[in-house]
Amino acid sequence: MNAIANHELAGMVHPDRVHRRVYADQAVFDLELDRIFGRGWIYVGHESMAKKANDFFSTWLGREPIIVTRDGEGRLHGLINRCPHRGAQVCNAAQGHARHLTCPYHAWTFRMDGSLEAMPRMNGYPASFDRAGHGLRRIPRVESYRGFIFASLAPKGIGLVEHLGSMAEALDNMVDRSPTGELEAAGGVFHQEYAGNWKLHMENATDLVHPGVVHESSVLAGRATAAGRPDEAETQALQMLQANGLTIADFDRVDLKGTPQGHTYMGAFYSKGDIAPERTDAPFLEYRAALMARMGEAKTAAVLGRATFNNLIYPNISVNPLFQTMRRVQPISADRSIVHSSCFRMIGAPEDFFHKTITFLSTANSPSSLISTDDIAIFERTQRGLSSQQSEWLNLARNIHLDEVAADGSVAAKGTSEMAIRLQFKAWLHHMVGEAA
Amino acid sequence: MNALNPAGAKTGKPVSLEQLRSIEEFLIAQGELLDQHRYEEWDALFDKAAVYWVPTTPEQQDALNTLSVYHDDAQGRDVRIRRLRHEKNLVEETPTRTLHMVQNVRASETGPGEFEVRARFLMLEYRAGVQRLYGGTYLHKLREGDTGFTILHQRVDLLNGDGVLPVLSVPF
Repeated sequence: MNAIANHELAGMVHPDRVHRRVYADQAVFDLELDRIFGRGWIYVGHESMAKKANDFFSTWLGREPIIVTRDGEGRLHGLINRCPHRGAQVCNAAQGHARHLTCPYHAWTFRMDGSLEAMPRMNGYPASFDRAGHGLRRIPRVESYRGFIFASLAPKGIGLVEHLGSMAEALDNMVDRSPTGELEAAGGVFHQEYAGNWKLHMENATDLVHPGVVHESSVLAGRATAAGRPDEAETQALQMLQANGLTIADFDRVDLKGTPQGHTYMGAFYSKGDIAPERTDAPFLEYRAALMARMGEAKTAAVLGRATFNNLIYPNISVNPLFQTMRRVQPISADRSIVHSSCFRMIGAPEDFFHKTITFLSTANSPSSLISTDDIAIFERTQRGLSSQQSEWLNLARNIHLDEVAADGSVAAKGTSEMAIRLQFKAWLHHMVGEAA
Repeated sequence: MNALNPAGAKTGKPVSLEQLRSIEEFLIAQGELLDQHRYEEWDALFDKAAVYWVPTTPEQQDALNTLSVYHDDAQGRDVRIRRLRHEKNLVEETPTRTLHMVQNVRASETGPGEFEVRARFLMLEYRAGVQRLYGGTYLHKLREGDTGFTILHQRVDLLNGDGVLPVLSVPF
């Protein structure tokens, strides 16, 4: 029996408001882990992290510790990182290369596809012992979309391509921007914790009203440091800090687009200097020429022309194809989350591009960032505010009367609309109480 | 290896006890400036070309190809300090309290009036109602002039730079 009845969950989400319990109630969180992270397609890593046969990396999928492996034939597998014998985590390494995985407790040994290869003292087991049933548990569905590996703990359900829908374009765009059509995960990862619900981060990533308020201190500090300096003397970091200082009217002109699966993206709003989507500096011209050589002028113009900023793939990743970065939110409990921020290198692009990627993520998402630390202060403050049981609802009505819904279910809105949050909760309802639940 | 010549210092000659003592005093004073929120004076210890750098791992070679927890050049320090001081800084509404402690200071002279210094540090932090402890190693490159030492480079290797971190506000 469920801890919370479906009709009760459904009552927590209205078109223009949600109940505090969706953020503050651990029982709701537990159901999210069952029904959203325990069934849907969740990003687990990039193929470059297990490039060759017998490479592997360990990560997590919802509440599951997992290992993603490539077997001797190059096929990808997702395995639960837990020995079927006595329960120890088999693999501690973040990444590696091995012909088999051996549990450190009693040396049960598994092939890279998870099947049990051997254990010491096999004669201690009866002839009827089911070896095939004692492999590492396999994740039913593991698929790669253009190098991005997603996994689902549900044996059945919609396919990955159907889940991504038109937001596959965000991943396409990041790959197509590479002069070789290849990306590799590189440059390290930030692991940033905060005392707040995982959804707060995702909602904030397409909220264009908050920058002018929350980031005021870094916008004004940025302007003060820039004052008196010629534009060309400003570092990329300084340009980024100031870019959050657009007016509401400017942010309204940024495109906000959503899909029926709950994904959303916003247009790029950096317009000048080192961070402009298209530039005339030597590395950029060299890069553009390489793209033209590979895919011709029209496709190059189309790829570079899709200048977007945060692209959210429901439920928990935010991709920035322009700067080749990704943020991935790990839900720990109703009031604790970890944001894993990482970079991709466009293989074949001038060095300068990856340097900009590193500087972009270090400026925007380092634990000491002048930008994201203000966001986190707000998430933590929101979580504390939501502990109040006297005031129950959160409002999501901004620009609700202006949502433009197309026949295919996609939605277009002005930049400062709360459309993206409304769409995320529509997807939430679908997973939590829809047919799938 | 001379006791005053640190392990890992590839070049340089030993410094006198007196020199070591003055270097140690300098590091203690640098931490105290942060503890006392005297950020502009902290910044003034750095050469214009100096970078305050906290890489994510001790193996990290540069800040161009790998993420850094901090990588503040002169512009970066200036804007960080302005924001630390800004009334709308949501992280510093209640100013963070810190205690910087410096230990195990070792130095060698790498050129006329230039020193490479390795030390270990602890930073006790009290922010938003939670007390936390950070630690790691400092690598300072210093130049001694008429008015004292100038920092040419500071590298801070956190013990957990690649681990899960909360919000960081006051430098190490």
